Amino acid sequence: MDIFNNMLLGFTVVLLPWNLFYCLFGAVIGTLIGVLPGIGPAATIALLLPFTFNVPPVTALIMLAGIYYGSQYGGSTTSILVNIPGESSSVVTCLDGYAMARQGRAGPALAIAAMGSFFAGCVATVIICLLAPTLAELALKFGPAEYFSMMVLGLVGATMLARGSLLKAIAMILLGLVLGLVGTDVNSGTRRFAFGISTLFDGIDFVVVVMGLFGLAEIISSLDHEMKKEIMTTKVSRLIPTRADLKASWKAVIRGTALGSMLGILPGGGALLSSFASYALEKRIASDPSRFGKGAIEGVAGPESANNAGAQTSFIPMLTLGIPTNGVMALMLGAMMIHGIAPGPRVMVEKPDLFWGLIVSMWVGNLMLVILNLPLIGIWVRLLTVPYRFLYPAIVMFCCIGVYSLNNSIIDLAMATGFGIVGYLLLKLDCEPAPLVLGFILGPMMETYFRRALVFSRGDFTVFFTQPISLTMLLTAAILLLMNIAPTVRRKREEVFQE
Amino acid sequence: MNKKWTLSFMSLALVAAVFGLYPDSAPAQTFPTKPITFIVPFPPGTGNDVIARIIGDKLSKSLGKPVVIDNKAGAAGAIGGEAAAKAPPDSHSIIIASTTLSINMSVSKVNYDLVKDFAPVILLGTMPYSLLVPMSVPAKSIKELVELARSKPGQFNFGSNGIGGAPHLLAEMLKLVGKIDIVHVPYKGTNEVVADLLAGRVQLLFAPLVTGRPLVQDGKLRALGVCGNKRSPALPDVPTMAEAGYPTLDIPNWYAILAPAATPKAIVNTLNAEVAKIMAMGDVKERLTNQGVDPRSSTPEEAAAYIKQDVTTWAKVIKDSGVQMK
Amino acid sequence: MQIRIRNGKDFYAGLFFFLIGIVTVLEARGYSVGTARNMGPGYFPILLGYLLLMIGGGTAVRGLWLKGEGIKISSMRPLLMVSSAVLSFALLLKPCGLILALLALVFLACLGSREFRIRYAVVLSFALAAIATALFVYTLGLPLHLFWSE
Repeated sequence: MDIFNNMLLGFTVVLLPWNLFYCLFGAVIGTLIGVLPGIGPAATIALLLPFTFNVPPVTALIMLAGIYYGSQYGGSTTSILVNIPGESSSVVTCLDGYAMARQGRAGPALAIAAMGSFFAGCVATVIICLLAPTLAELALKFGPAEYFSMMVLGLVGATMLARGSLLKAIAMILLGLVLGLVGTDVNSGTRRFAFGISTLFDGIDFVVVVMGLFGLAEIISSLDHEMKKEIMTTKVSRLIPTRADLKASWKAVIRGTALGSMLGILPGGGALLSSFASYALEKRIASDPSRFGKGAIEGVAGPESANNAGAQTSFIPMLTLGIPTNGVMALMLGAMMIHGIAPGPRVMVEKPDLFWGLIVSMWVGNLMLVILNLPLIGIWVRLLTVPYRFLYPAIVMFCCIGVYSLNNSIIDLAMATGFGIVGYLLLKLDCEPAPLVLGFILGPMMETYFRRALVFSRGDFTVFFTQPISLTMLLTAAILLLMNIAPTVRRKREEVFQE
Repeated sequence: MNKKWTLSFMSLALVAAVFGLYPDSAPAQTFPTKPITFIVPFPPGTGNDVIARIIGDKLSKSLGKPVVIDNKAGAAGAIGGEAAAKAPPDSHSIIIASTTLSINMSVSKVNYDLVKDFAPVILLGTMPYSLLVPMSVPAKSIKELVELARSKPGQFNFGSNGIGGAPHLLAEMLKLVGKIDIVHVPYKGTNEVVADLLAGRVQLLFAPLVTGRPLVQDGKLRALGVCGNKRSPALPDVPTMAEAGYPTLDIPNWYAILAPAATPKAIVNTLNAEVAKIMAMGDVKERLTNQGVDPRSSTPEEAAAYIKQDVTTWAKVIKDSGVQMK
Repeated sequence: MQIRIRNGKDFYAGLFFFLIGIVTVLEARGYSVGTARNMGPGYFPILLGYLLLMIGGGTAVRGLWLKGEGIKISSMRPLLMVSSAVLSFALLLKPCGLILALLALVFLACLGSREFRIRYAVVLSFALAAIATALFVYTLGLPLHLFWSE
């Protein structure tokens, strides 16, 4: 069988000692990068690029790929432990993961995240092997109208991230949308909301928002509780997930993997949505949705699997068509080009050892990461038992260095502080940060796709409804919205009747 | 007693003479005295950044002091450009510049002047653009494309990597020269456009040759013209812009290393010599070529003349097309 | 006439969103709006601004009528000290170098805690500064000046 031969070829490449070493090296660095808030895989890959010059191309790519998904694993760790998402796709893990950590269940959360990610990684690798060219062609069918409708669906799903008041969640989404608009408008070149500050011309960096809103605000809030003599839960229950945990998670893992694999292929930002979509899905079909936000393990299992599957499948457009799906893929594309390899269907034919070696290395890398991360869980959990007054200054420090390392900009640090203060006050007002982050990410994309779709259709609005994929998504969004509002409306009506 | 005084005076005189005759390039001889800052006005991983890292890596070995890459991205290179223009005059800063900074000067308000604020060190290379169309467009040459577009006014879309970028401006030129009515669809970066180009939603795109080359070779896109005065060896069937009848479209992307204007000539020359040596190295040439850059070398004067010419050329294009960033 | 704010949380949250809405609309007026078919850069922001105004206003009014909780802040010190810690880091970094900036950062941050004691704060400051330097400057190679002379 062809696939079997290809996999075998891949293994012979990967199992060469130096390739294995670089795979491990990449995975470790990636994990470290993911754990350190603020410093992302893009900057790291760029820094390590010169290292790759003197090694064979396969080895270089294996290392870079390792860094990439290593950072996904590491990013989940910080989301769960300290409520700081390492990547945009880890934001959702903060919701229930951190809640679990506060209940002393960081161990199971981390374990399920790792195991779910590994499962997703394996499945995604298989999918890549079998379906890569087909999926790439499918991805091309997504035009701006389809992306717009998908974002609308995503925003409706964002309302499901809310734990409390729906109205406030919507307001936070809107606020996020506005913040996302800061910067240069793609369609007209106008600089919006920049107030003349040149660092704002390219928009507010995601990391700045997240450090402030999730990191600093949460720390200030915890200190506030400390002041009230509320003791932080430092008791730690077992490290291993219980049977009940596993039973609850496995279906979520499968669903998440499916979602993530599909969404990761879309070049226009699909992978980001995968974790949000998974969370919304889990919450929607759960028998008791109110558990979500308070430590529901499905809220960790699903999204974590989804984002890892998405991360792997986002290699597909890059490898088969040469279209990178995000910044990190663009860097890897650049790395391939430096070594004289032009991605495309010819790579599979002309350099099969490189192609299949890379694919198999993804599987091997995932395996290494799981083996690396599971024992680390013990260390992380013990780290949490350090008294908070020693821990939080360290977190603040890592946040600051992370933010500064983005652009060497003091303005970024000032903005992060601002977001921290505002985020803290908003927390006091029962407004949650997660919907804002989703709005922040989706807002500019939504607007751009909407306008671009209208340019293509020359002002014809019906294009959103006549294209089948777009129509399906909009209908789903509408149904989802109604399903969300209906219980609230019914409840309000009951309240009115009772009075 | 007299002998000792005479000897002393003679020794002193000898020392003074030697000292006086010693070439006054004392700064150049002790250059560099500390790490060199290499400003890159773009984010890590982009074309400029990778080239800078390739060269910086070799330069630090040859100069004996570390060359530290300083990414100052933002506002399409304006932030880095301004920082370099205002760099301390200790002559230990250099910047990598490219066409974007040249275009920027005319298309929006920036706080640097490529001609006045900098002393060019060396031209690194050029990167040609190509005109790409999807297979769904039946044109096989630029002339055919122009005729097709003229027969369908307002129906063709052209993509770009952003308003005010070279691909946008080149397409505007085509509009003027070909007298066609095509609709601009801006994107954020070249990669996003390519997807829509492949799908046929966008009918033409000016893009760096290296981006489109694999797709053209796979038969998924067609290249109708390429910048430069000779054809690309990888795509021998594609005519140059001049051959295709549109010489005004032949404005390639260039890369150069510049130093702040206050840098002493001797240091500029030293840097020029060192980088020229690096550019002659086989592996550097290969890496740059893989990036899509045609490596060149030049004297500082040649670089200065080239850049000045480039700024003027783009200024005219921008004036004619009326594109401005607000 | 005294207006009693029944639900502080709703009221102030609503007020906040309302104000952001106003700022958004005002700023967005400066950009060309265009039509729905052909949106200018100002269209979407104005739309969002008005939505924020409405929701903010509605929430604030709800805060006046429905009973709820007020905001409880036990102490302003955490807020003050954590913010000043980050800002001090930002200000001290270029003139004084990384080490001093980190020392200031950690020490000031420690002051935000109820359990602050000078001894551990000083030790922690030095320890974390050392760890950060080892990790970021030496291992990862970030370009940060350690001391003030550079």
